[in-house]
Amino acid sequence: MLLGLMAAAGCGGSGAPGDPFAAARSVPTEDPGRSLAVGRGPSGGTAIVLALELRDAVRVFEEIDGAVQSWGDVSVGVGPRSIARVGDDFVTADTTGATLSRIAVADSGGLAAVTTAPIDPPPFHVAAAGPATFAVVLGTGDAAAVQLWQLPAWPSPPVPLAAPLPLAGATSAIAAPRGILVVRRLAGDVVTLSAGAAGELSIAATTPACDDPRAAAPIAGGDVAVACADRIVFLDGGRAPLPHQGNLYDLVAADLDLDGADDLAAVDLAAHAAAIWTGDAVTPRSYPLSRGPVALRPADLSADGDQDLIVIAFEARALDLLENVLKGESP
Amino acid sequence: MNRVRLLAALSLVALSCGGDGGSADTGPPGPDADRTPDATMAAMVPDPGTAVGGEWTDVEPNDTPENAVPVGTVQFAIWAGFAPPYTTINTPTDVDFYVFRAPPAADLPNLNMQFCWGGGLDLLDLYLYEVVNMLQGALIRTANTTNTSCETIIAPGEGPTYLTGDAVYLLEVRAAPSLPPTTPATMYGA
Repeated sequence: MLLGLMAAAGCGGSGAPGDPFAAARSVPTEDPGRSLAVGRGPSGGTAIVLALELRDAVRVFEEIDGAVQSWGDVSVGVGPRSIARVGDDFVTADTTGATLSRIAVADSGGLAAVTTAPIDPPPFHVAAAGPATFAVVLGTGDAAAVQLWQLPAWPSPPVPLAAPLPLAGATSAIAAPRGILVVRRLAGDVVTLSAGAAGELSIAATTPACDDPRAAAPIAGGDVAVACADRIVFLDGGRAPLPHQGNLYDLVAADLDLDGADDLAAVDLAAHAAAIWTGDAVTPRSYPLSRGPVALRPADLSADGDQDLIVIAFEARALDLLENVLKGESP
Repeated sequence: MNRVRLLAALSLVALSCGGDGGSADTGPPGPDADRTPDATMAAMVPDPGTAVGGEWTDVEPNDTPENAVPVGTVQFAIWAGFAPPYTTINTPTDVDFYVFRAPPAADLPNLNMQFCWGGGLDLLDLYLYEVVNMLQGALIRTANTTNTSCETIIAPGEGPTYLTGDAVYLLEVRAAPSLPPTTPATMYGA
């Protein structure tokens, strides 16, 4: 059901002339989200799907031509903490309920059809690993492990491909050309996993990163950027670390300035801002956000040919949209 | 014999932790200021540390005041549930203690101390205590509603009523007494 157009308000600050981004617009979400995924919307726009741990649901928004609509909630398993787009579907890690939920576009429009699969120990993070496969970080601490799962033809629920690989301290994962990158916050490293033909995982490399790495982002060309609290480091050392005074929490790589090379965008929990490094910049541009930005994703909102940024502001219970204006849109 | 009884009584006092009985002779005014837990005055608590707005993590064992997790200074809100070990009610009798420093007095009106969770259960109750000379002091406030999604110990605007700027406090997160014994480990966050 279409609930209507959401109010969008600027949340302070604006980009200086020449900046890729206009000041952020804020869309209230009512409930705090920890994780978001972006995909194809029910009406042809961009779907923005939030995992709402407190509601046992995902909340679906759709952006079309600058307007953000809410399609309401879709119930999933108990305690969804993480969500990923896998093919045209979405998958949530339902930690409290120890399930994985698969959300598909319903025939009548909207994201409504759900199937779930049990998983033990409980899942904490999911990340796409291919058109129909995804990695799951399950368990925590010494009991943590990583496992590849697959989405069979709809309406089958997700199925595991092989046994979990024990990996103490695993906290999150992301797919990269070199393999599946697993961030371990307490260990301070990033583990690269290789997948065999049957989906079995093995450790290919363990690379120290920093104290308390928060997120990794593969960069075109092969290196991997890692967000630490106070800097960005590069696993292969191909680029000097980018120091930053703040508390970086999530990181993405995308060509934000349309020069053909990946740039970096992170959310800074201390400054309540997005920090964006374009080109070879050592000092990021800062864009104010609503309070408590914890996650971000790039997306070409309005299909205008540039990468915009969508941010979850956990504390403010809002989605912030940073619109890339290089293609000529007005803020 | 009397000496044995006295020692036994002292032992019970020393072992007692939490509870709702007793009356307060210290602590700021508030609706629960007269609910001092029995004999918790002897529990030495850790220093909260110097972090500002840091992550609250559930480092077990933290089920007694002396094992409270130091979480630094709370800025505007508790920040929990993002970093491992995740804040979790592990069993239907789980107790987690945290020791924190209140923000400066000027920021107290903006303070919001709340935990929320999924699953539709009455998961937990909260107990806020003074800390005096690094000892657990009087119970200041209790949040033990039957709400099935959140429990709030300090709502925005309430900070100046219950807390003193830059002072140290203990927060006890206790599994709700009505929690079914089959309840799975359930994370709480803020």
